[in-house]
Order: sequence, then C-alpha cells, then structure tokens
Amino acid sequence: MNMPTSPVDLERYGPNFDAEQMLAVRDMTRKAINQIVKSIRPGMVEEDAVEIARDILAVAGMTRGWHDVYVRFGSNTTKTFGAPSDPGVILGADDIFLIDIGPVWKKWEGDGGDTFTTGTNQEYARCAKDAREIFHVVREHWAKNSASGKALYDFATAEAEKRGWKLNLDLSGHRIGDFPHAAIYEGPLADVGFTPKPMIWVLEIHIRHPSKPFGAFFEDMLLGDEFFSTR
Amino acid sequence: MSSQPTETIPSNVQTAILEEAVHLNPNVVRVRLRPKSGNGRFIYSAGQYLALHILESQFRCYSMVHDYEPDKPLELHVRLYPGGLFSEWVRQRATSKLLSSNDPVELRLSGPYGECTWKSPSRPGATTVMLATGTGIAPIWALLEQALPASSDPVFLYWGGRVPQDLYLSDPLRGLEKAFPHFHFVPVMCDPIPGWTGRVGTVEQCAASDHPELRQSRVYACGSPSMVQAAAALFIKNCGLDEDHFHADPFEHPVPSQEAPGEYPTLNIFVRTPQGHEEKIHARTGISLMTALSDSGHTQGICGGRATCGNCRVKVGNHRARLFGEQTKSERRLLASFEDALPEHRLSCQIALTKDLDELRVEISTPSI
Repeated sequence: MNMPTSPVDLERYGPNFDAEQMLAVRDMTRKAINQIVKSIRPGMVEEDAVEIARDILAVAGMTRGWHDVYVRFGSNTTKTFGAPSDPGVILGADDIFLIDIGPVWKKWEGDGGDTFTTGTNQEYARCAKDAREIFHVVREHWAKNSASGKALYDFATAEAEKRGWKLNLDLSGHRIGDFPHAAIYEGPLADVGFTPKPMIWVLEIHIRHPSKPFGAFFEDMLLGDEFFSTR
Repeated sequence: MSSQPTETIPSNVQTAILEEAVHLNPNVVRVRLRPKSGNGRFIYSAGQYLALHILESQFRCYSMVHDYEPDKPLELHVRLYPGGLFSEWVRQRATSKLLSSNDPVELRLSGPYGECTWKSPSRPGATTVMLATGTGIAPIWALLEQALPASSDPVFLYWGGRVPQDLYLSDPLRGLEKAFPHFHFVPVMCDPIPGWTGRVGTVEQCAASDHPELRQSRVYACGSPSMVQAAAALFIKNCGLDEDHFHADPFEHPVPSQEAPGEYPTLNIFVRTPQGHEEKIHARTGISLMTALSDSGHTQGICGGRATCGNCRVKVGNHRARLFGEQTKSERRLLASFEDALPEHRLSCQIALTKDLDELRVEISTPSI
C-alpha cells in the first residue's frame, strides 16, 4: 500500500481543530519557554532543569505533552529528537542550552523550541542566533515562493552550510493540530512535495557545529510575517 | 516523531556487519557487530541499548555490553528463545566463532536508546545497588566498567538465575571484586537447587534484605519487567528509595515466531471500550499493557510510552490493589491533570503485564486513532 502524499490527506483537520485555539496554545508555549529560561542558571544539572520545565508547564495547565520535555545543556544540544541526553551535564557559566517542548493544552497541540547562552562565547551566540535566523529565512522562502516541504529543507540545508553549520534532517518539521496530529500524518515536513498550509505545520531548524560538540535549535509554527512581531 | 523503538521504525538506521556469534552458555550468544564505514559512528552511553531490525516491522532490542569506544565492535548478549525468529537465526550462526569475511552478514540497527545510564551517587560514599536477571547483566556490565574505576563508593550487584550456568559472567565478576574492593557480587538462584550454598529468592528481595535503608542510594535494575516493577515498588515503599533514584529500562521480550508453550504465559484481559462494549483480548506477559492494547487496536501511545501524553490512560477495574502505589511522579501528575481524573486511572504504558494480572479488567479512556 502506498503512503498518502496529497495535501487532502496530509493537511486534514482533526474534529476539534480551531485556529484561534492553535494560536492560543502557540502563545502559551512561547511564554512557557521564556519562563523556563528564566529559571535556568549555570551550575544546574540538566535533569533538574527538565523537572523545573515540567513543573512550569504543569502550573500553566500544560501537564500533558504530545512529546516529552527536553532541556539540553552543552554537548547534549547536538542530540537529535528523542535521543537520551548524556546524564549529569552541568550548565557552565559560558555555555549553550536549548529547550524543546510539545505541550497539549485542552484539545490542542503546541510545539516550540529555542536556544540560549549563558556567557560571552561568540560561537555559541552565533549558533543560537543563526538557528532563529535560518528559521525565518526558510519561512520567508515559503511565504514568497510557495516552496514545498522538500524545497524548504533543501533551502535550509544550503542556508545552514552557508553559515558554517550542519543541518540535522532528523528534525525536519511535522504536522500539528488538535491532539493527536499523529492520527493524520506523523512524517516529516521535509518529505512533503506540496506547499504546506499555514497554522498546521511546525518548522524545525536544528544546526550543529561541523566538528565541535554544540548545536542550536529553533522551532515554531509555520506562519506568515504578521505572526512574528519581534523579528 | 519519536516512539519506542519496538513500535515504530526509527529514522537513524545504520548497517553493521556481524563479526562474531559465539555461545556463552547454551541459551546466550555473544554477538559482535561492526557498524559499516560511511554510516557515521554509533555513539552511545554505557547502559543504553539498540534495536536490531529483523524484518521491516520487527525489532529486537539489546543493550551494549561495553561502554562506547571508537573503532571497537558493538557487543550484545542475545538470549535464545526456542522457535524465536531472531534466536534461530543467531543460533545457526553461533556454530563458528569467526564468520566468513567473503560473505559478510549485514544487519540493520538503530539507536542508541534508553536512559538507564550512570548517575553519580547523590552523596559521596552512598551505596549503589544493581539488579539483573538473565541478559540484563549486559548493560549492568557496561555501567560497572564505567563506574568502578571512577569512584570507591560501594556497589552491590545482585544477579539472578535459575541455575548457576545462567550466570555466565560469574568469573569475570569475581575478577572485578578482586580488582575493586568496593564492588560486591551476589549471585542469586530463584529456587533452592542441590549443591547451591548461595542466596535464594528474587534479586530484589535479597537486595532489600541486605540494604533496608536506601534513602541516599541509587538503584539500577535491568532484566524482566516483572522484576523491575517489583523492585521499584519494594525499594520505594520499604527502603525509602527516592523514586527518581531508581533507574531502569524494562526489557520487553520479543514474540517468538513459533512461541514455545509456557515461554510467555498468556493473560486474558477484559477491555471495556468507550462505546461500552466488553471485549476479551489475549496478551502475553513481559510487555506493557499499552502495547497489548495497542496491538489489539484499542489505544495508542502517542508519546511512545514516556508517560507524557496520557493517551493510553485506562480505568482499572479489579487488581487495583496490586497496581496501586507504583506510580511515578510523572504518572501521578499527568493523571491528576485530567478533569475527569479518578483514583482507578492508570497509564497503561506504565503497567508491565505479569502473570498475576490475569483476568485484569480495564476501561479505555481514549479510543484508538
């Protein structure tokens, strides 16, 4: 049996889809990330940071997640989605760390990620900044050129290389919607041969240094410029 | 995007050459695999496991026996099950120590997986307790290799079997005892046998008897899900172990292609659907209730059994007392977040099926997608 590949199949809405609520959970997700960042300090063990993140999400009414909570410190920022972190990594005073959460709020899924630094290391700062910038230039490429999912990740790969990073294609976008999007399509956006619709896809950018053990991650919903006020 | 390696096809698949398959005892074969060049390195932490892709949709999970070293082959210990699909394949190749380099045997694998990796003791000098049954010794050995040279904190290992030959690494473990005076190996037979003067019982009972106070300790348990579940309950309830200091990757045995009678006792489970129908399903022991319910099309674990999504939530009818008190903090918090939370609710991904759960009655909270 061939896997469905058409927008009709892959871009279906679930029975509880609601664009306003999708934007609401997106907003809650970004706020949760910002709150988690404020709680993280150098000297903290990564496992403790994950517990703090879970606590913050629980207080915000997002105990459930469609995927696990990831806070990764230092060399663990190179780990791909789902891979366990090396245990006991302590955040340094001049370090890099990322957050990746996929909360479920009521009937709707959120998904967000971002990368932060603790000191003055210029390579770390540039890596984190480039993950965000690549996200936005890829998103703009989609908005201006109606690029397909496959084309977006070809573009992202080239953009990452241009800036001296390697793009991790294991983290290459996916559906989102009313929980669970897995009922519709679990595959990557990078496999999609059509122009993805706004609001129902997540664009992920995970870059790594070509030889050093650090990386950066940024993800958010695939949306037009009007939804990104702080660029 | 991610799920348990036994349930969805992982994307990070590599190819490896089978370098060696040799019997360690009649039921266990040591397999050495060398990832093919060009794949990138297969880097992992001691205590983690990989999935071998036997067929397109079938996997077998095995822990690496040694910590990662560049350019060293991956070593696994494969328990042979009568009639098992992969067991028979390995058995045929275990007749010669070195396989022909002219006709290399390739295997597909993915990983690494698992979180049962070494964590520093919560306080200097605190005792670490390790439990293993069967080939659960494989990740424990890797952890010992990593931990023993690094610290002089006491480490006690309890390894259980049915006959002394099951404990196929006893001699090397005695060697570790000589090399590291802070390490203590306690072999355990599950039942009394003639000539055995050592410990008898379950590994968790022996360990709890020797270490009634584990408030400052960490415990690592590798082996059958029933042992892991029993150990967690016993240590947390009776020995004061912090539940966050219990580290385990319960090992779900594969289903043999021609299942041997009695190898995996089958349970009857009565499932009430959201539509109110009651259906009887048959499930083998040694897997999670979520896997059984997923196999029968009744539910689906979206987060892959990580106690995160709550999609596999069930209401447990009878047998509740036997399951009660074994919830982790994550499970408790997640269940409490549902508006219709009831004390009878459990996450089926957190319940290992054991013989004493025969005739279990559960009510599905969320229909399968």
